[in-house]
Amino acid sequence: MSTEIPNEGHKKPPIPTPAKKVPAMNIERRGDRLYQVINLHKWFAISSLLLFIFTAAMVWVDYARQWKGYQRQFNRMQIEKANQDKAKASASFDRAKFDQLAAQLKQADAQMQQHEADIKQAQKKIDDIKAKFYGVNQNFQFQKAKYDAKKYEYDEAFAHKAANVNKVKAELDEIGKQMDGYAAQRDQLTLDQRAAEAELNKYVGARNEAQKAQADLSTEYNRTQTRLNTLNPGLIINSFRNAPVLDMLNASEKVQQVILPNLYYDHPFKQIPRVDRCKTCHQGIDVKGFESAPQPFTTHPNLDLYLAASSPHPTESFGCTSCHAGLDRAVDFNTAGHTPHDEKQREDWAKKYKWGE
Amino acid sequence: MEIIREIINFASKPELLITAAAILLLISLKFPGRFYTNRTAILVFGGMFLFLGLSVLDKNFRLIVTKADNVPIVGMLFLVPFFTWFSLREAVRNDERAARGATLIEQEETSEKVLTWPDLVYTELICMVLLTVLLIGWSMALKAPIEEPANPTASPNPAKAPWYFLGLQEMLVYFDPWLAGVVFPGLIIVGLGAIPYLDTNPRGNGYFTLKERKSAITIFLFGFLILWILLVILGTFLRGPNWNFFGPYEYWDLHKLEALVNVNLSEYIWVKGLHTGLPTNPIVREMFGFIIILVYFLTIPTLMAKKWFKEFYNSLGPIRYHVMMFLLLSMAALPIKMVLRWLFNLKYIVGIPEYFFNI
Repeated sequence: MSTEIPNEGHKKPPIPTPAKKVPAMNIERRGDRLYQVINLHKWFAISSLLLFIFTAAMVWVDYARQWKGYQRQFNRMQIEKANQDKAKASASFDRAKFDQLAAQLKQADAQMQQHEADIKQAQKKIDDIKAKFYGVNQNFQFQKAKYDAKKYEYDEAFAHKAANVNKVKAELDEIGKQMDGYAAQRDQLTLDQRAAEAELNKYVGARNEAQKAQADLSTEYNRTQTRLNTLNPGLIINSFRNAPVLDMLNASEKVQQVILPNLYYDHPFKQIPRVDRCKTCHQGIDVKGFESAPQPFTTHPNLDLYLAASSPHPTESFGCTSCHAGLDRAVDFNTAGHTPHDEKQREDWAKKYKWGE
Repeated sequence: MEIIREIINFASKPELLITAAAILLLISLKFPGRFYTNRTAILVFGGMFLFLGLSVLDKNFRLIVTKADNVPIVGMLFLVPFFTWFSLREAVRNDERAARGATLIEQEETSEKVLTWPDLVYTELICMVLLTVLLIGWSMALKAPIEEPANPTASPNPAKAPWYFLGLQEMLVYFDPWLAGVVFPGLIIVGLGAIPYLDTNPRGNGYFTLKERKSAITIFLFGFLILWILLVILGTFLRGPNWNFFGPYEYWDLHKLEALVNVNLSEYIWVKGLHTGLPTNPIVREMFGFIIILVYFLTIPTLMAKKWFKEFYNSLGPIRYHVMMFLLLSMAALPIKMVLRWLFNLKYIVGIPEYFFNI
C-alpha cells in the first residue's frame, strides 16, 4: 500500500503531461477522427457480408436434418417400386382385347349416328324430368322441414297436455299429407327418369359398355400412374414445398409421429405423453413389400401381429418405444437410443454415425 | 511420456496449482518489466499452445476439453491471460515513458477527445456484428449439450453448476454453503459495487499504468485471476465424479475414493492439545474459533491503521477504511482457509453443525 501514491481527496490529479507536444500519429490521413472512416466502412462491409453468410449457413444447418435424407431415400425406393408395378401392369395389359373393344366402340358410334334424333329426344326428356325433379324435391324437403318443426310442437303439447294439442295434431297431419303428396310426385319422377334412361340406353348402351370394359382393362395401370404422380410431383413442386421456411405449409418431408396419451413420462408434478417419432425414418416399417429393404426402411416382421391397424398391437395405440424403448421424440440416430447388437456393429456405427454411449 | 503425465497430474493438484499461480502472479507484479514483455508472451502462449496441442493426443484430456460446455473455458484459458498480459505490457511501457517524461501511448494516438460517431459507435457496431457471426458459427459447430429428460432419482455425477458458477462451487470445498453460496457471492457483488465509492483515486483513468495503481491492480488481479478464474478452471477441468480431484490426464473414475480426514479447530484444541473430550456446550466447545474470528475482523483493521496503513487510513477516512478492510479481510479469508486446509486438514474454525453454523 505504501508504494501507491496517496489519493488527494477529490482533487483530480493531472494526467502526466508530455515533455513536448508531439503531433498525433497519421493525423493528416485520418482528419479529426480517431480511425479512418473508409477503413471502418470496409470493416463494416466485411462483417455484414460474413453475418449474411453465417445466417444463411445457420438456416441451412437447421434445415438439413438426417431424417430428411432418409425420407428422400425412401421416396426414391417407393418410386422405384411404383415404376415396377406400373411396368408389371403394362406387361399384363391385354392389347388384343383392348383393340377388339375399340372396334366395338367404333361400331357403336356409327350406330349412334343413325339414331341421332332419337338420342337427342331421349336426352331432352331426361333433362326435363331432372329439371322438374329438382323443384319437386325441394318442395318435399321444405315440407319435411316444416313437418319436423310441427312434430316438435305437437310432441311438446302432448307431453304437457296442452289445451291446443288436437289443433296442433290436425295441422301436423295436414302438413304430413302435403309432404306425402310431394314424395309420391318425386317417386313418380324417379320412375319416369329410369324409363327415359332405359330408352336412351337402347341407343347408347353398347358404346357405354365398351368404354367401361376398356377402362377396366387399364385400371391397374392408371392406379400405378396416379401413385407415381403423388410420389413424384416433379422437381419444381417438390423443391418448392420442401424449401426452408415454406416447409411450414405442406411439406412432403416432415416428422411423422404417434402421440400416445396413455404412455407417459412421470416427471415431478407433470405427466408428459410419449410422442413416438420413429416412423420419421423407419418409413417402411408398416408397409408390405420392404421386407428385404435395408435399414431403416425394413418392414416389421409379423405385420398381422404388430403395427397393422387390425393387429392386437396397432401403432396408433402402442407406438414403438413401448416395446423397443429409446427416446421417443428423438429424430437423430445417436439420440434415439439405438444399440448395436454386436461388437462389429458398434465399431461400424462409431465410424458411420460417430455413435457412442 | 507416462512420467511427464504423472508429473503434470501431480502438479495440478489444487494446493500446488493455486499456490504456484498465486506466487507467480505476485512475483510478476513485483518485477513487471521482466514479465510483461513480448518475449515472455511468446514463451507463455507458445508453451500453452504446445501443451494443449500435445495434451489433446491424450484420450482422457481430449474427452474433457472438447465437451461442448467446456469449450468456452478453453477459450477463457487463452483470452484472460492474453488481455491481462496486454494491459500490463502497455502499463509497463507507459510507466517507463512517464519516468522518462515522454508522451504516453494513448497521448500519441491523440491527445484530443474523440468523436462518439464514428470513432466509438461505429466500431462498437462492427464489433457486435462480428461477435454475432462468431456466436452463430459457434452454435452451428457445437450443438447445445442437451441431455436426456431430468430425473429426480438419478442426479448426474459430477453435478456441476454452469461454468461461470464453478468458482463458487469450488469454494464449497472450503466453506459451508451459507458462506460459499450466500455470503461470499453477496460480498463479491456488494464489494465490486462499492469500489467506486471506496477507491476515488482517479489515477489511471484513460491510460494504462501499473506503478500509479500497483496495490489496487494487485488486489484485483489476485481476486479475479486466482480466486475466481483459476477456481473456474479447476472446477471445470480437474473436478470429476464426487467432486474428487482428477489430473488432466486422469480417467474420471466414478469409484475413486479420497480419505476424508479433516479435523475441526475445536478437535485440535480439546482432543489433541488438552487430551480431553469435547465439551457438550457448543459455544464453549467452539469458543477458540469465535475468538480467532473476532480478533481477525476486529483487531487487524485497527492495528493496521495505527501501524502500516497510517497514510491510507488518513486519506480514506474511518468509514471507508473500515468497510474496505472488512471486504479485504473477507476476501483474504478464502486463501487463508485454503492454506489451513492444505497444511492442517482444518475443516472448520467454528463448527456447530447443531445450528448449521460452520465457518
